[in-house]
Amino acid sequence: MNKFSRRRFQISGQKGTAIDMARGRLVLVSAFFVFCCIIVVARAADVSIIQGALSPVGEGKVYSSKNDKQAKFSRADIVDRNGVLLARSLKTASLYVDPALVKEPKKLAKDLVKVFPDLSYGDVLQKVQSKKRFVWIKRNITPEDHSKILYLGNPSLDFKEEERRIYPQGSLTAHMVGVSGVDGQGLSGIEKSFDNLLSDSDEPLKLSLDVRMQHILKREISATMRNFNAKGAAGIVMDVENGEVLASVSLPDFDPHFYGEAKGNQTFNRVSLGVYELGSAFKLFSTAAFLEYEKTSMGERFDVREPIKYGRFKIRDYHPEKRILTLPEVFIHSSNIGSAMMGQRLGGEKLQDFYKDLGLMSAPSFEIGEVGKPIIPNPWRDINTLTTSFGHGIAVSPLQLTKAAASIVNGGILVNPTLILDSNPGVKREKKDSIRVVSEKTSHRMKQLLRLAVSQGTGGNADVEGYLVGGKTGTAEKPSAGGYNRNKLISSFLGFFPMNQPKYAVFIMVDEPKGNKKSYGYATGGWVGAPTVGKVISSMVSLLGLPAADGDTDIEHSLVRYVKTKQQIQKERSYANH
Amino acid sequence: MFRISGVMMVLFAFVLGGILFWTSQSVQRSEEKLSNIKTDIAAERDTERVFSTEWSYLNRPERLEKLADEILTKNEDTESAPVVIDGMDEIPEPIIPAIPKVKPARYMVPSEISPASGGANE
Repeated sequence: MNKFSRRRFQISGQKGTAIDMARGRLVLVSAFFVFCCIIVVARAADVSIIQGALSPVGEGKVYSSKNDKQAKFSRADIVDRNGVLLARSLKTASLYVDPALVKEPKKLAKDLVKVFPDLSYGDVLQKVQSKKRFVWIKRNITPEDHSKILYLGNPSLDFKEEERRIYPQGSLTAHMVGVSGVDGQGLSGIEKSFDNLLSDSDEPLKLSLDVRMQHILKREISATMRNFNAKGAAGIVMDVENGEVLASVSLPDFDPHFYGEAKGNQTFNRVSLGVYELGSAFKLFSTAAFLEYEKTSMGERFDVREPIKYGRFKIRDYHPEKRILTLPEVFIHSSNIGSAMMGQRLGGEKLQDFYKDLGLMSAPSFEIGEVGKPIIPNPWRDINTLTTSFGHGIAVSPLQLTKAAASIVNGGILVNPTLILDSNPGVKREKKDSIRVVSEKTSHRMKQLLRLAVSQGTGGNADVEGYLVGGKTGTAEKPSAGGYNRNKLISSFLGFFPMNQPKYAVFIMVDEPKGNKKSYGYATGGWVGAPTVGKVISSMVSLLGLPAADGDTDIEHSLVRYVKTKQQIQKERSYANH
Repeated sequence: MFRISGVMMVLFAFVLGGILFWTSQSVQRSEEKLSNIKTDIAAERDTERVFSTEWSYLNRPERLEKLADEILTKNEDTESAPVVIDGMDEIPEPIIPAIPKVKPARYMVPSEISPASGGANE
């Protein structure tokens, strides 16, 4: 037995009690430490194993810096229908000064003016000597200027990270895309009307525009403006089936990066905001209304030998035919007298209702705020029924005209113009949602007339071989004090192709064109608008990969018998003379 | 026994504390690394946005058309201009030059040999 074993030593009495007490205290303290250990182990297991398994990957709560959070820009991108970038926010540095830390204000002002020559020395000196603690020097500076300021090494200068809206396509889509301000708020166009969506969403906003078609349209319209020394011009390309605007150009235009420096006529959107008396292009609607309501045949005849007199007004033709015309001849020769007769037979009420159904009597709904209200006669008098039949006395925007015309040629279903790409292009609208404006028969007849107007009428310069272009010319004198100014015209052409099954509408309008040598001094729709539309269409078809149509598919054949040839007319006239 | 168990418990507490400390430090390091990676990703994303914006700017239809006019027109008149063909049949046959006939060497007659010419070949 161990001589030191407990059994040999038994301490009793006071000392034994003290030892027992000490033993008890030791047990208590040990138990306390064990308890603390257990808590620590349990907490470690909870934090590392249990909570680590439950929380999402990547969310570090211990070390998180301001760069740690997902990079979110204040504004979403805007892209075209093919994903080409139209607008994007990029991070830039904005320079500010803390005047309290400035030691040599004059030297600092001189250095800053060297880096930013557009700033004035006096202004900068005033800012660096200000009593404030934060004064902007310049916002959204370039990376080059950023490095120059860093090189100065002045502790009173610092940068604040901001965002600047960049428009890679420049002025090409300026009117429709619009601009946003320095603080990221939309000021015009899509930027303004979709301000909340662009601010909240990360997904890019897809427009129906196609920058390639936009470029083609702008190129041709610019060339026409130069050739005819015009004041301005506008053009639009629209899908007649769903109203998508593939291209929209208004000239003159502006650079969205320098919106503040743009003049009023540059920022004015002639496509949607400007309203104009578009002249003979309106005959499309009066003729369609006549065919729809009067249920007449193409052989209907109109005696246009004499001008129509109504009170002090006289309605005459620009190129008088001086004979009796059939309905197709009234359309292709653009007879004001014939169209006025159609309007007269229809009556003011029916004509107004028809225009209302087409959306010509009120501002159209469109995704941008720059939309003009049409100017319509109020009160509507009988003379207005005659004049609006050939496009005078009523002013609409090019967007409205194109939309209304598209609604006729697409089979007679009303379309609404839109700048937003359809996210479900394969899903067709239910028939109950569609509004029919004309019957399919009227739509077919109008397509035939439009094709005839190009193949045999005033729109011949718009024809593109193999693509069955149809359309209507428009030439209108601009209103001025006391009447109309013969020397100031609005020349236009509204074209569609391919006419057997129209898919696209192309409208071009030129403001105050002046005739030149090539046009023999003429500045009418047939000389100005029609060739331009033809050039746009010939560039578009190769871009879209559209095959040329077979000559046998031309839809105008059945109307040819209603149109007299020059020989037939001469024969009739010589017979009448004898 | 009590002393041994007490010492064991203290040792165990120390070991646990050490493990906890090591775990905490390695988590901190991992989170720091994660934060740096996220910063790098954000910087790369910013750079990508700038580059793609610049790419869109350089691919403006107007610029591409201008470049196409300049470059394609320049090559039109030169021999090296690209020629578009529809099929293999249009590739012209190569012109293989005829092997030139070797002219027989001319033997010099003794009357043509001069002392300076080094004598006739033998």
